[in-house]
Amino acid sequence: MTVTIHLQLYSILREKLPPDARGRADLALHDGATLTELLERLDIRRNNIVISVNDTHEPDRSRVLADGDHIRVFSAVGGG
Amino acid sequence: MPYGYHGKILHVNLTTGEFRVDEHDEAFYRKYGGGSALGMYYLLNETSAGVDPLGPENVLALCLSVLTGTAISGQSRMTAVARSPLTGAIGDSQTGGYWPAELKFAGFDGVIVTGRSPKPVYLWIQDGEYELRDASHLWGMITGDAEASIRDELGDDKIEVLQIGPAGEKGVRFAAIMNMSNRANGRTGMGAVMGSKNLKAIAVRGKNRPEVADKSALNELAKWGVSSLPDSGIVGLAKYGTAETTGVNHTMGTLPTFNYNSGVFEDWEAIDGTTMYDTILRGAAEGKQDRQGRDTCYACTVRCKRVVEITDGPYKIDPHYGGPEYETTSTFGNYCGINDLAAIAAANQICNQYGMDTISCGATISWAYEAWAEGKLTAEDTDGLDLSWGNAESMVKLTEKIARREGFGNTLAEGSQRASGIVGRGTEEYLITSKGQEAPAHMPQVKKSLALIYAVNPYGADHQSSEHDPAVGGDWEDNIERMGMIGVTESVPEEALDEEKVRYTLATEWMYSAMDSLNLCQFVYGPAWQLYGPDEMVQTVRAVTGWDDVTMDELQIIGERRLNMLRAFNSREGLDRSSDTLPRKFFKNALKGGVSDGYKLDQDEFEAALTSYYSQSGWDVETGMPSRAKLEELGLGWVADQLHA
Ligand code: SF4
Repeated sequence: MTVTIHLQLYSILREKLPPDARGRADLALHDGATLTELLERLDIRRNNIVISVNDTHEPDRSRVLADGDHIRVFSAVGGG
Repeated sequence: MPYGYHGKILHVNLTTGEFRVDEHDEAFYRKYGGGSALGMYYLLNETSAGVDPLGPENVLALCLSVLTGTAISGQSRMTAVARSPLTGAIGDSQTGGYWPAELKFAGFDGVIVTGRSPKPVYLWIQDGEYELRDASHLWGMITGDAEASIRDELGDDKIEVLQIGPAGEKGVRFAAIMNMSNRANGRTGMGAVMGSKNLKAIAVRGKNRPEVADKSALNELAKWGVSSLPDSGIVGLAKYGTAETTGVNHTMGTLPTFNYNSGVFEDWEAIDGTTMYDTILRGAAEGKQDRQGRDTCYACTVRCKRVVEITDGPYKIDPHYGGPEYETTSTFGNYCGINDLAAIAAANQICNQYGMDTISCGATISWAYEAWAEGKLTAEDTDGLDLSWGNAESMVKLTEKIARREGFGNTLAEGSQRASGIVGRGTEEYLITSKGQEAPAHMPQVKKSLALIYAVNPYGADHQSSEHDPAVGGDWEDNIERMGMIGVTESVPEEALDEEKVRYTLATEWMYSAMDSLNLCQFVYGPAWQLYGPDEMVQTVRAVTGWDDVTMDELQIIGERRLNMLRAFNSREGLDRSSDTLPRKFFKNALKGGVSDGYKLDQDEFEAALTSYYSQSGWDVETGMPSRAKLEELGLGWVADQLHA
């Protein structure tokens, strides 16, 4: 069994995907996959990132992802 | 022989046309560093209590530092200080670009302007020579045109031009001083002060590069910066600009929306930095925006500045006027509920052409939008413009009206606080000002240390005067080493505003204050996520100046000294604890929607933090005034004599 999630990466994190993707990808993950596993698969090792699941901030990296989830990952550092 | 600086400050009295060159010794430069502290030395010495911000007696100090013009990222900055026509308190504002380095090459560490010229003039400085020239033909020109005219008449297209636009000429209270037609001393109305002096521009050119004490050490630091950038905390900001933080702020409930009534903006993605990169940066259509759509300051490897070009549609954008920062996409965007990036770029362009602060301008407009939404303004007040949330066309038109002081724009050109006094009808409830300066796009309801800083900062609400809460909260593990160098040794919860948070805030405020005196860019240097930390800051000062025994503690004291000078100026002008306030709505109205739904500030917690802050600063807790003992400890006995006469 797999689940499919809709992923969107922003700013510098987009470089984890091919340039044409512009940070977007639909990814198939095994049933029960967590945010931590997703980050590992994407090779995102930065600490200061912010994640939202279905437009709600998700600080818990052990969150189990569900089919159709919309995941956004931002790099959280920088000024204004 | 001085390293890094010339030891010369050019002083001009525009009333009489007289010049003088002040020479200061090494001890003086080591004590003040330059920038804001150097400027305050002149403000406190050459103005008296009650100085009219727009009168000839106000002093406009434009100061470089001992580091400006050397070959390392983040040093080409200039600080402008004068009494502010927006706030009535001290005004203080930094800019980057190429002008600061070029003034150094022209032979001076700063320019002090007093008096008022009988007719419009500009100042031309080249290789230690200087003259005032007629600017009657430039008066009324937008920045790009005036810059081209000056280069043309002086016959050198490498001349750097610092100038005001028509907004500064007309005394818009948040007028900026511009250079490169797209870099701004934006905040606190320094452009209006320059305009009141009939000074249109200062053009500079020179070959006097400052000597550096240890070139190879500086070179090593510069090389380390270049190689560390890809793994640093500013790599995203470099490529995608400061507006890369839009989505994060929305997600964390810290994106000020609908004039600070909410921390989330549903349409954030339309105005985000990543979207800007993909759509309107010059060269984006051909995928060449990394080369064509980014710009930099002298000798900076980061290249974080945006260059926007739009040739089709209702808003045409000339790349000469740069592109919007996060603050600008916020004030003209989410503050007003506007999701049209081209319209935001157009408002940014108007601000750069006419010389206005994008933060105060956009936030003054968002104040009007809220007044409209609450039925306190109608089309009769607004020259027929519909100020409904999200109306981009009206926002752009209003920006232009403000720049020209036309119709309702003339009211808004006074800044939101004065405008609310003119309009009345209870519209002061919608203000988001501290000391009369509109709040930038970082929300104190969530980032609690900013509640303190927005209130106590001597020149009004400001986001670049301290490190924000995440650096000592969620991101603490990444920052332990750097924070240790400024005496911050423990994590503090992000939501706290207790003694410990105040201690952290003050320590970082001193460091930022030191950076505003050494004129260092706050993306390149800082105590947390920046490219260089405190250690590299010390190394930079040593390499440039040869002051081999300088320490971070000494630099922190420069920062503390500057803060005390700013504060002493305000105390002299009668500002006290009762001036260190926040907008009423921050306490009264709970935020709506998203993660920060229901958030508001607590008055008692805030007052306790104020008391703790004054006491930790060595200031009187009743008045907020620096004590004689504190001033003397900082080598500011001469300021104490003025204040405690
Ligand atoms: S980081 Fe950006 S603003 Fe700072 S000096 Fe470099 S280019 Fe200028």
